[in-house]
Amino acid sequence: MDQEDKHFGSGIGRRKILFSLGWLFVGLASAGVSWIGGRFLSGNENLPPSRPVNFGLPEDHPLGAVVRKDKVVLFRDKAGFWAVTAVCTHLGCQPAFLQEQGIFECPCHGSRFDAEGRVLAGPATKDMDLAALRIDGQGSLVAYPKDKVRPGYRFG
Amino acid sequence: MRLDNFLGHIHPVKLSEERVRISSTFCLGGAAFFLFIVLAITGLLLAVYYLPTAEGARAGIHDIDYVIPFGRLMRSIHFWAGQLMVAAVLLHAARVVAAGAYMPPKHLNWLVGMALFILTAGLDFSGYVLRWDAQTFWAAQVVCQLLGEVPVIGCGLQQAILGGSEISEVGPLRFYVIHCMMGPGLMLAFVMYHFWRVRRDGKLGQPF
Repeated sequence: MDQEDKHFGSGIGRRKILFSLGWLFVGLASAGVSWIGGRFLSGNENLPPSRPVNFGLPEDHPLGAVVRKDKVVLFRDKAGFWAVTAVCTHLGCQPAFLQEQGIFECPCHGSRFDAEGRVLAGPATKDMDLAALRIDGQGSLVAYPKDKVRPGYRFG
Repeated sequence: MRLDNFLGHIHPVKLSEERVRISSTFCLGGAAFFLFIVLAITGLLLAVYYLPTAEGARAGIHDIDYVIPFGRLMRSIHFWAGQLMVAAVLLHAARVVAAGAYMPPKHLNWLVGMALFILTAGLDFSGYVLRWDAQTFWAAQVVCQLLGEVPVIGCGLQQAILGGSEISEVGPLRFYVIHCMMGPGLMLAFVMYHFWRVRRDGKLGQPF
């Protein structure tokens, strides 16, 4: 134990602490760089929402309503409600719904989808997901993006 | 002084204390090599999204900048590491000249270093061209025409790089292969030889 180390008295030398802090820093830096690299490689961060999305009371949405909330778009026609998870299946951007044309268009690369999320034009090749709808305890209409349903699905 | 740790292996076996003291010009070669590693890692990641076609190049860079998480950061790190590497290599060469370390017995390693400098400049330029916009397209045009003026080998060199006498739609692919495969591969081989010669030739230039 050298002169400097004696100040600690507990047997843990200053050099040892500095080395440990150095390795801790290297470890944290490596973890940070790996995380950034992983996020970069995994593509767009606009992942579908994992939590249910609450759209309020069903009677608040008249026939023909189109309501967007937290990457989920709720529609209502004569047959009932359906909800599209508006995340482009190409690189994960958020397509906008064009009311006049009745289609989704992605701002990043121009992929187009119909109102039920089916691909109309690429570069996307997969349809967007439809989320299951349920009524919760307060009578609100809730979309569950993790529970996917098939095109043609209607609720209520 | 005897260097027997791992990092010391890129230095001659025996050195005076004076030769390894930290100074303002210390480790410029090491800094250049570190930047090369940074460039290799970020370049490998960027290559996943870059499309080496005339139309795809612009779309790929747009995605990296605006769609991919940390894409802009990754591209900025790659860009600035490239600029810093050119500066580090130049300063390293200037220090070698000032220290007289280009003279025998280290004259061969000086030539290897010069080859590395040309490779660094070539990699910097080929990376710049990969943007494939109006600015870089014409820059490539000018540089390739200048290459064609080099005596004896110029014309062949120009043909080999462009795949013809003029820049065509295969230009991005050609520069992509040069920038991502040929250039870094050659550089790594030269760097390994450069390091080995540093150790073998002995002595280090007097630091400032």
